[in-house]
Amino acid sequence: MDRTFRINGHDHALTIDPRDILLEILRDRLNLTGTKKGCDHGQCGACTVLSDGKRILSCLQLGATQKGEVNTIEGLTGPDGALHLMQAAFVRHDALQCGFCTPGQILSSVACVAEGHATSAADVRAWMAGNLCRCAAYPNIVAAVLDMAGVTEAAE
Amino acid sequence: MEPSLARSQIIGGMIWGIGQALFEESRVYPRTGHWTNANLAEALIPTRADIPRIDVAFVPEDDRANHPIGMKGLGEIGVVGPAPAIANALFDATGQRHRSLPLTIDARITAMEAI
Repeated sequence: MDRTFRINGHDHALTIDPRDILLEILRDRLNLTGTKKGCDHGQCGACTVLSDGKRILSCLQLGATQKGEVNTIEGLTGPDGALHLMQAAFVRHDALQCGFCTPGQILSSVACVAEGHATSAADVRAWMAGNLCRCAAYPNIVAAVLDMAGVTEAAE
Repeated sequence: MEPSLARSQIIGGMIWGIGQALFEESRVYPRTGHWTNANLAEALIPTRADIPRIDVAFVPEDDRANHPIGMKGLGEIGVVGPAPAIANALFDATGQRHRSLPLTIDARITAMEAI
């Protein structure tokens, strides 16, 4: 079947199999390998991308039924290669160790702030609980998200 | 030395320790020897919502006996403390002395029934 995907501001016309998953279309057809396949079950959040600004798990999304514009980690960087502010905040707060979950964490963070769900550390922990990090960089990620959201928290 | 990376390593280790104490378990089906919880919905690891604020305090030391330039390696060492600390806290609160991990609710009920 023929489908046109709008990804990071560009249209891509592809012939896909009805069974093709958005994650595999991104990685294997469009070479956008910044989006990671973690568990492939919707349990880890590594494959998080934005669809019309909403975070979705691309490993559970059929390409055939994908409607919105997709934004991946590749689309966050500016045209001159400058880091997105959230990416810079992650660097500043050392919010990663191995980095495998980081693309999903950053897209989830961007959406979390945009949704207005980054008003406190407890809020961020709850609204980003679905992005697992085996290196356990959670406290630094929370700090980066709160920094971006402009929240200064007193010690709990 | 990069202090922020050292801090991140210790945070990671401590959260592993919390996971070890409270969640993490590999279950085997004895008849086949296969894992029965080989996915992230059943083999639980700490999520962000499980982890409160974490403080890291280093005690700096120039240890020339350990290494000529006085440094020490650092990595997953933070994993050592949390499980005994949590198990001791449970003992203090309930009088139950647990000898195995994780300290899940069903493990605690089993221990209570054995008393």
